[in-house]
Amino acid sequence: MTIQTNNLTKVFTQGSKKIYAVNNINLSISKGESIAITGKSGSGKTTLLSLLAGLDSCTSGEINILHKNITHMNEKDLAKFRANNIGIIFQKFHLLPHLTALENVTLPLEISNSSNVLNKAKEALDLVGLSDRLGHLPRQLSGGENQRVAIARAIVNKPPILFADEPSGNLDQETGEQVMDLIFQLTQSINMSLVLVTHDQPLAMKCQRQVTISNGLID
Amino acid sequence: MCLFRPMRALIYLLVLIPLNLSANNLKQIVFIGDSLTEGYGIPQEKSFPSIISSKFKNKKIKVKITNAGSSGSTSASAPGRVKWILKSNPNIVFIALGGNDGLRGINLQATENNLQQAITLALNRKIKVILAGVRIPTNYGPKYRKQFENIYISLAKKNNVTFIPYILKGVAGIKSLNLPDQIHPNEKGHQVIADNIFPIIEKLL
Amino acid sequence: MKLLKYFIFQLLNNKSFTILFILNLSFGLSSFVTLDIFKHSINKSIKKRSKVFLGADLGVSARRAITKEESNLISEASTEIHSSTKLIEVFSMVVGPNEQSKLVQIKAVDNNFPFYGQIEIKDKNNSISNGQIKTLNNKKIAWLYPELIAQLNVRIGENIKVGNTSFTVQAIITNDNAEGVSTSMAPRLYIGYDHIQDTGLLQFGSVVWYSQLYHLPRLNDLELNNLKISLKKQIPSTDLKFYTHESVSEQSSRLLKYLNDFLGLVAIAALFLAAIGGAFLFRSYLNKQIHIFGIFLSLGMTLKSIMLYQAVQLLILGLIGSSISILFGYLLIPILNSITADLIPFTIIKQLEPNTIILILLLGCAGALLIGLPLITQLIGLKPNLLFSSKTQNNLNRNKWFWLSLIPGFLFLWSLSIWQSHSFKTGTLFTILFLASGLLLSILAALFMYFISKIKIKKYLGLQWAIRDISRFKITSISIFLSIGLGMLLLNLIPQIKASINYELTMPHDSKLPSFFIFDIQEEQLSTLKKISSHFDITLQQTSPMVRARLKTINYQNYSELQITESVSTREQERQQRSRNRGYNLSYRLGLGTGESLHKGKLINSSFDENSGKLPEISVEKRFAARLGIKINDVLEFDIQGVSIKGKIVNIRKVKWTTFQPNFFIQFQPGVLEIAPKTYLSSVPKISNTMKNELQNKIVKAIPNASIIDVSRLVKKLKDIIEQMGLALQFMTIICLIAGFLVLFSIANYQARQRSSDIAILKVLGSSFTTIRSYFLWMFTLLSILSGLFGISICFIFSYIISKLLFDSKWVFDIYTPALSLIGLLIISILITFIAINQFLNTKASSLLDNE
Repeated sequence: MTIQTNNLTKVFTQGSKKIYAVNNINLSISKGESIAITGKSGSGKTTLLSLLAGLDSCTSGEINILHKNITHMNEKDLAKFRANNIGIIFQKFHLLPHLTALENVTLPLEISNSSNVLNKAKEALDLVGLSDRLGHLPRQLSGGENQRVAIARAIVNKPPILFADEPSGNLDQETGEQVMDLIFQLTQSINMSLVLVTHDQPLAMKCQRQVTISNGLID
Repeated sequence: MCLFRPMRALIYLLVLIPLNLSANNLKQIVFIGDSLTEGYGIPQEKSFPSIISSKFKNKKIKVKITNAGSSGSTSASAPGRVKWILKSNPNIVFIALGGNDGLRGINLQATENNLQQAITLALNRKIKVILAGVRIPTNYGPKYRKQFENIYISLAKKNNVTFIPYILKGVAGIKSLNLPDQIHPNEKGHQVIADNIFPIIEKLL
Repeated sequence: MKLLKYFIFQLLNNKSFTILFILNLSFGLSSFVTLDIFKHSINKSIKKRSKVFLGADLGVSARRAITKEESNLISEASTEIHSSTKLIEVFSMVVGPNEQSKLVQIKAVDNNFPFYGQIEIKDKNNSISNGQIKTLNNKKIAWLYPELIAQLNVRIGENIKVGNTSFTVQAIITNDNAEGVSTSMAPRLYIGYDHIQDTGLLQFGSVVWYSQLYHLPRLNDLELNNLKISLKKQIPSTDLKFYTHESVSEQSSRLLKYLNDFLGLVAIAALFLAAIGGAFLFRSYLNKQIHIFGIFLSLGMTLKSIMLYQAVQLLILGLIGSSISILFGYLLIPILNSITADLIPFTIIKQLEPNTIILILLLGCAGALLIGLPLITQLIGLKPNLLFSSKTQNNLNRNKWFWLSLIPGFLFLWSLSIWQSHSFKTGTLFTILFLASGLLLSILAALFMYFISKIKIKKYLGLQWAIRDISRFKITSISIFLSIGLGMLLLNLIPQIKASINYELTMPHDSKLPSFFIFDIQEEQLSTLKKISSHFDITLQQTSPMVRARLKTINYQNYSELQITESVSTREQERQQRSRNRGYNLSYRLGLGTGESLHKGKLINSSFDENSGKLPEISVEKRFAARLGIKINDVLEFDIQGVSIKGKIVNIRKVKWTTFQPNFFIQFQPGVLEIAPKTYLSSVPKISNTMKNELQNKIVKAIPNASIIDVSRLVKKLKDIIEQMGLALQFMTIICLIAGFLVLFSIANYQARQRSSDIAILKVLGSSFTTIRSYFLWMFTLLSILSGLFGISICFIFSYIISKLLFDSKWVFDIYTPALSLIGLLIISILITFIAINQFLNTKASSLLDNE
């Protein structure tokens, strides 16, 4: 199993009220599998994603990723773990605005102390079809192009797992579809697991499996 | 080195002196005094030695007048200054010193001694001396004023020199003839002094 | 105004900006308030002291009785005259009970004297009290300066004779605050005004000072001075001298000018600092708010009203900031009053001046508005479609309005500088230097960024990113660079100038200060004097020859025909000026004496060589040279009692007057004047009072012609003022330093906050905390240390110019403050970056997944 959760729970307290954003979720994702997490706004799908990606800590339960229990990892170890094993794509791209496309993609390689950094980054940008845009800053690129840079950044380290949070949410339909196709195509070709958070039903259908969340529970 | 320095200076000044006092046959009068002689607060050409100089010029008498007045000086400087001017071989030395001694309340015996030394130096060189008497303001008290006045009378008598009993006669205490400080004569005051003493100097010459 | 609440919400929603902006503003203004309190306090104290010195506000003196008509004219000239007093000063030989006589300055005073200060006396029971002038006027009694007890050989209760009349010595004067106008060559004696006529000293042929002093407590210095000038016009008698308490103590008013100029600069510096901090904060705030403006625009609000509301926001912030600082002032005054009686050498004013309050409110509001204006204009052209843009950051645009809107702010700073420094020259110079420094810093920043973008570092990821990003965030880097650089400049400027002023004000050790001067020592008496002083184990200071000479020509031109550049304000002065008889005291010496420094030219290193074919060398004092309009290489010709001597000016000297040593305007090269008729003058260092009397008596006995001027009272008085000024400078410099560090703190803190999202991204990408930390630390430390270094370097130039041009003082290289402030800056930037980074490192990276 690539990802395995046991009774994963996340509770927020709002005054005296307890809100179960993620409630006792047991989920397993195998290698190369693509899974869509769908649900309405506020259903808890984004919270679940941030728990799975190690961006947030759970209240109870546990998560195993690549046979490693990350539940109680400290921030420092989590960061190192993310650098080597996880790629993330955000709805708002979250590129560093002062860095060129190439530099943004180089970043994870530098962080994980890889060798042959430049070639790998160029390769990744080539894969997303931006080999002619290496020196451009995010503000000089269109939304779709920005998201493609973000994809390149997420996959450049060839992590076993890719998380995507509404990757087409900020793009028009056509561009969104192109981007999604690219993501599917890339994850399949490298045999990556893909966890996609979306409320777009047709898009979710493209994944091998679909999990719908409402009120923090799997339907 | 230090010992030689005054010597060198002397040589330098001796070289200069003939240039300034070139005509040896010319009669020369030197006025040694304090701020009164120097002409404190007025243009130098309006000081009484200068007025006397022009009086001689008007009379077509060739005389060189040197104003060696030095503001603030006391009688103590008199011997040294007489020695200094002796180098230029003057015919007459006019001494009007001691006012500052009086104003400062200096021991009167010292004033008398200083003036005596200066007179002796000049007389020894066969130079004629005119002694001008000085008085001090009334506010210094009658006793002290009298003692001070007597110095000049006795010096004049003892040395048998030409004596002007009171150089500020008809000037002191008169507002219109003095500067606002009421101590130093103004231009008009210097004119009065010159008028008073010119006949005496002319006669001696 | 309905919509105002949204903009207030906006402020409340940006608490960190609002609080920092208000803090920053109120701190700048608070230091301004503090300085204002100090300034008023010091002014008041020094003024009071100079009033005590004269004993009144205004005075008139003459060497003759002041007539009834003149008296009436003066009384009618101002309705502000509370009361007046008459006094008479005269020198006379006073005779003691054993017929010992001594020259004494008699001061006859009437019952109203003095209006300020008092005369402290010790009676025969050794009890000390404030002397009642009434008792002097009731009976024929006298109060004496202590030295007269020995000199007249008199005891309390015995009689002395003043003129024709006997007076009973009733008390010894232990402290005479009303030192008065004249530096006396003789000790003083007080008697009643009603009795001076009886002495018979005031008759024809007497030289007497008649004075009338006036009490005008409600007039300020300017009004007093105007009154003085109008009186001079109304009563044109040349022998009447009018003066105010200020003109009496010229030395202390010169000190006051120094201090006032300096305080003005401190105040400006504190405000400039606050302006820099404020501009920086507001810029960051606006950048963050652009999104919200987009929303407002899309909802139909006009850009004009958005800009207007931003201005209203600034006004509100300015109002709050200035109110806080006024409140601070109200709190500070009682605190200062209670704790600093011993620490601060002057009395603190009791409450804020109404002018100060108005001024602070105005400064706060107008200042905030003017700081913000150029930034607000950058909103021009803002379109609501920015909401649809996928760009995460919108940069403000500079347009022609931006540059135009800088003008009011610049004019405001300029006029503020002029007004605060009381001088067009100072204010303008300060503003120009400040702007030039900003420009220079920007150029240096650009050069630095160009240089740093060429550097490639492979090994340390944090440092590698830091170097790359400094040149990427060009605008931010330059503004940090400018803010920190200018901040450091201002922060160091005040201590740097203070060091220069302090140098001017440092006095030699007490033992080197003169206690009295001896004049008119003849050459042959010098050895006697030395013998006497060595008997007392005293080393004479600055024994110098003095040759009286008359200036005949300057550059072979008759001196009297030359235009003299001395400023003459009245026709009367002009006449006196022209008729001066050009008598000067010359001296000769090699090199420089104590308290002297070379201003221009070369030192006189050797004695005159008459074979050299050159003229003897002359050194002249700087102010004197300026007054006469003479410069290096000019040839001066003097007449020394009939002998003419020429010399060439080879250097111009500066004399530090705080050594209180006698000095000469003109110094000749040795080897020329040695045999000219001359006297010597010398000064005796500080010694005990009993020793002083003994020594004085011995000298007077052995060298009767020597005149001794006791300067110990005057020196002590000036010394006190100088020491108090030094303390005041210290205190205010510290205040300015605190304000400066606060600005640096808010800049660094805010900047770290701005980068929080970048931290989150790096964290999500799996960057280790160490790398992120080192990245930010490197970036800020590099920027702040470099800008700090540049700022300090420019500060050296800045302070050099200010010291030279404004304070006419020697520039002193003060290394401690720059070093300390640089270390302080390093610590602050590391600390703040560390704290801020940790704060964001510990927040969850999941914040990036927000669905806003």
